[in-house]
Amino acid sequence: MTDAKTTPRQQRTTRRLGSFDRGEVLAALLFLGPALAALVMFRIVPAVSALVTSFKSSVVLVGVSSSFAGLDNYKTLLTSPEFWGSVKTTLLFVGIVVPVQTAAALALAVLLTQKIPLARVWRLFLFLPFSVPLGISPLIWGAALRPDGIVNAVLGAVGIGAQPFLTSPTQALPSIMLVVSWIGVGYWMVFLIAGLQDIPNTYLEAAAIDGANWWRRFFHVVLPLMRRPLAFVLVANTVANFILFAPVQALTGGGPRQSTNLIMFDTYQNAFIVGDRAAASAQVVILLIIMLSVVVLQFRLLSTEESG
Amino acid sequence: MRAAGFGLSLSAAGAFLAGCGGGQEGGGDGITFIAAEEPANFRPVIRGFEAANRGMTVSYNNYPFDQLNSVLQSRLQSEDTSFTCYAVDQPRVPAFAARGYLADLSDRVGDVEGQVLRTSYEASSYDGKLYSLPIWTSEQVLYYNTALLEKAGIEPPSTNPESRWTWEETFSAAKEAQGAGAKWGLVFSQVNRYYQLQPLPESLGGGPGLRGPDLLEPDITNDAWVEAFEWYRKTFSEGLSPRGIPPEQNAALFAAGDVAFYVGIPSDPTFEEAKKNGQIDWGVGAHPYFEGGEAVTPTDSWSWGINPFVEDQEAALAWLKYVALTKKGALQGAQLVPVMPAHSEAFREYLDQLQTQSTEPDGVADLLDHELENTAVHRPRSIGYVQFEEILNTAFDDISTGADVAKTLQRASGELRRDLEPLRSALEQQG
Repeated sequence: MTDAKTTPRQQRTTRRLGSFDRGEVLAALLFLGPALAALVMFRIVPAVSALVTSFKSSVVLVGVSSSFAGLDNYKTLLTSPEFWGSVKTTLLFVGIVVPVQTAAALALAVLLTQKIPLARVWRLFLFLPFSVPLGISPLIWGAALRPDGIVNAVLGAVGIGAQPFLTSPTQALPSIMLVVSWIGVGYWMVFLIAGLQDIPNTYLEAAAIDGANWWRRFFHVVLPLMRRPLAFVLVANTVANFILFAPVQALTGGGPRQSTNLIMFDTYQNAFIVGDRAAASAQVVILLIIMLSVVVLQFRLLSTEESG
Repeated sequence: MRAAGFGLSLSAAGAFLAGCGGGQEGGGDGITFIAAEEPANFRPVIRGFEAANRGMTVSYNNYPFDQLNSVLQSRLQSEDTSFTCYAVDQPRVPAFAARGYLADLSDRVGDVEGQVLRTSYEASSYDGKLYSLPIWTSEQVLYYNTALLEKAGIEPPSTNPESRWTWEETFSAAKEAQGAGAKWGLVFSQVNRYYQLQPLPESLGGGPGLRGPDLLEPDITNDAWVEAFEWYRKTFSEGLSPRGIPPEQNAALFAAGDVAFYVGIPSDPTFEEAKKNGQIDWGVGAHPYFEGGEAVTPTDSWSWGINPFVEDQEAALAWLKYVALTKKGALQGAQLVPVMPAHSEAFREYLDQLQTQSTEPDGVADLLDHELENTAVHRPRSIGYVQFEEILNTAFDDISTGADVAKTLQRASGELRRDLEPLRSALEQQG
């Protein structure tokens, strides 16, 4: 059985780098040019700029120049209880939201690729929350989760008492997870559906003929073939949730009692409310390092069985 | 074919870059002004200015209040010259001036002190220099719902400052009103914001929360602060005030007739509208104080300043002078906004007009006059005000949701101390 990763056709086009002619290289560069330029302008340059700014002094007063401050900003950050609090909260948030959303998205993707009535309609409804701008859905949820809002009204109707939701230090972060998942699950589900539809039916039929039941087919045929889409969803979902900002700003302002003080929100506060660009840049650099570590780890774990 | 493609993409790139370069030029005979008000609110005063100064035009851009300060800081930090003047929240004047974001207006505008209210002049200055021109000022009063008080048999508070209620009296009256059917007893319009709550600890002699020669040392853990905020916490924990409602939505609660007592700006247009429609009948009493303490009210509003990075500031200066230092301009500027003009004569006329309005109870104009002269306190004139307000507003949020007052204030004090430390050392370096 051929390796599912590279068909004979793909193997033919993977040539050695030196075997391209100059015309082809030039054409490739021209096509890639805009994308590369955008990558440099919108990703590399700001990242380098943040790194440089993070070494400048925090306070810029008249007569006090914006001098080189070395690692001062990092020292201040790494000894700040508020910063560590935001790191912990962010890790907790990402650690729960990403697995839960991915599992839910996968379950829904599997469900909605079966032959059930109105599957396409359900897929549309699940994807719809994503079409609401990320600055608007938190506002709507904020109204719904108010102590006198619609969610509490529904809970009251089924006999559960009114919940504090965003005003409670224990319920605020889960409420934000809820809002974010309402949007995210439908969105990631679409990618996983595409991945599922890529699996040739013949594999599943062959496994069924060999006597595998649904669970074994899922774990031994479907999941391994979903490794790439799942890797993509996991990594993208992780990054998106690490830099989550809009719902916190719209709903809780980091509270109550710093329970929703995610790193990106704290950085925004520093950069734009307090006006301390240097400290905010240092925060962004640290966030970048944490995110890269997590993503690299994810890639490692997901590609252990890919070679060979 | 290939060369043509290459040339095409080059020219496209060139056009794109050319379009990016060169922002709008402010100054000259065009004035670019930034503030937080709806454009419609400034139409009268812009028209007035343009009529009085033929050839000059004012181009106005607005941002919502929450974004305005951060937008201004970003642009001024980059020495942006695409705008010539802007509105600065008065408590932030020291912070902006110290960072070089406001042009020094000291010898360029004649006698300002004699023309504007004393409190407003103080609020527009820093370190002995005038960095902005005061435009508006503010006060707070105690609204009450007439029907709800009648139902509970409560004698309403009066506008006579000598017989103002205490917060303790207000609390029990609010409770009684709720017992007789009011949904909420007491609501602060700007809930959990320092502007609104500063009078509470100040009334007990606890100070504004910052001390020291530069007001860069936190002082929010003294007994008066803890006592004041234990009282505040109770208004939520005992159900007088709803939790989790953003400040912008509080006025609607009172206008709908759900609230017995409401602390807010005088002559709030939402309430006047509601009264005219017969939706609710309300009256006004003087802002309360703590028993045994001083009567204290919040004040200050907006000043307008000039972008120091712009070369030609004369046109912008003319605009500022028109709105701040002429009676006509000041009245036009305050016409559509629920705040009071800072220009002394305009303020007098504003009060006279207020007294003749049918929706206003007797004595309101005299009350406001009295409060501005005797009980108003500025927010601390510190270059660390922004951090201070941010951290305190978060602490107030936590207290309103039931957090332990002393612990919350301790934690906030620690964070504030750490955040203000670099400012203290920078000031020392400055000498």
